[in-house]
Amino acid sequence: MKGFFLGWTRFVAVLLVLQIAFAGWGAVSVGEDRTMRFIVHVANGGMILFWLLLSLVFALIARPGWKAVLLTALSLFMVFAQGAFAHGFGSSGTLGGVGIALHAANGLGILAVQLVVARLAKRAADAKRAECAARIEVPA
Amino acid sequence: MNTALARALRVWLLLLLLLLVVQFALAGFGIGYGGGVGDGFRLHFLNGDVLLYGSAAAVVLALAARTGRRIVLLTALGTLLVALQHLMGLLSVPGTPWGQSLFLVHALNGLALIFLTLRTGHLVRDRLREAAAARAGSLH
Repeated sequence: MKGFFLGWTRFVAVLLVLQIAFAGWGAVSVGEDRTMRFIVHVANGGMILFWLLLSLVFALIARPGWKAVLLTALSLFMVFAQGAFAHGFGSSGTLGGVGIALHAANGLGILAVQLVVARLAKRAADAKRAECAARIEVPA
Repeated sequence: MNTALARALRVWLLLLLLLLVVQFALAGFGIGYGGGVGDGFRLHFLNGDVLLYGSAAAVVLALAARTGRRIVLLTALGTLLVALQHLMGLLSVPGTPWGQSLFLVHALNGLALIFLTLRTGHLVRDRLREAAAARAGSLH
């Protein structure tokens, strides 16, 4: 399960990198409705929210350590905040700009937190593997 | 290795890292301010110019600090990637698959620059630590 959690965390990290790419894609699209211009970004974002919810469940089952669990919960909270930053500050003007600026910075933060979780998950998976190897080792 | 210049390079790279993260926030500001690439992006463009000259200065610092070939090459790569960012911004045509693909890469390239700058900074830090350890060793 620890190995699965590591793989899952890496999968989410890849989606988070893709999310930044999709934001770039939407930035130079044209149209009136912002949600439609950023539709790929919005769709992937919705999925990331769901995957991170599952991540929290997997973290609780896999037990990679309390730090990894708390950081997964933190990134889930930060993804919720992404929605608030994107829609809570209006859609134009300085205030709207500040909202999306916070959205972008917070997005980088989510990726950073998930990369730390991936590192912790790697450590936990390696420790587990070493433990299993030690158990089946034949004493000389 | 010149310790003072290597320290300056370390600080300089941290500054560039900060500006790169700010650059993401400023791109977000531009989107939230006006919708497309327009008035709101003035700060993003300004910071982009600062980053171009700043990363070129990092190459000079790396050469002067004599921290080794690898660090010089990585700072040069950083400058090349920043120049590519400018080029992609100039070549993009909004509202076309071509322009949108370019900006997808533009966003990913920006993210890659963050990791590159982080990594180069760590290499400089390690070199400084090695030098400090060697100095402490020669005293005994």
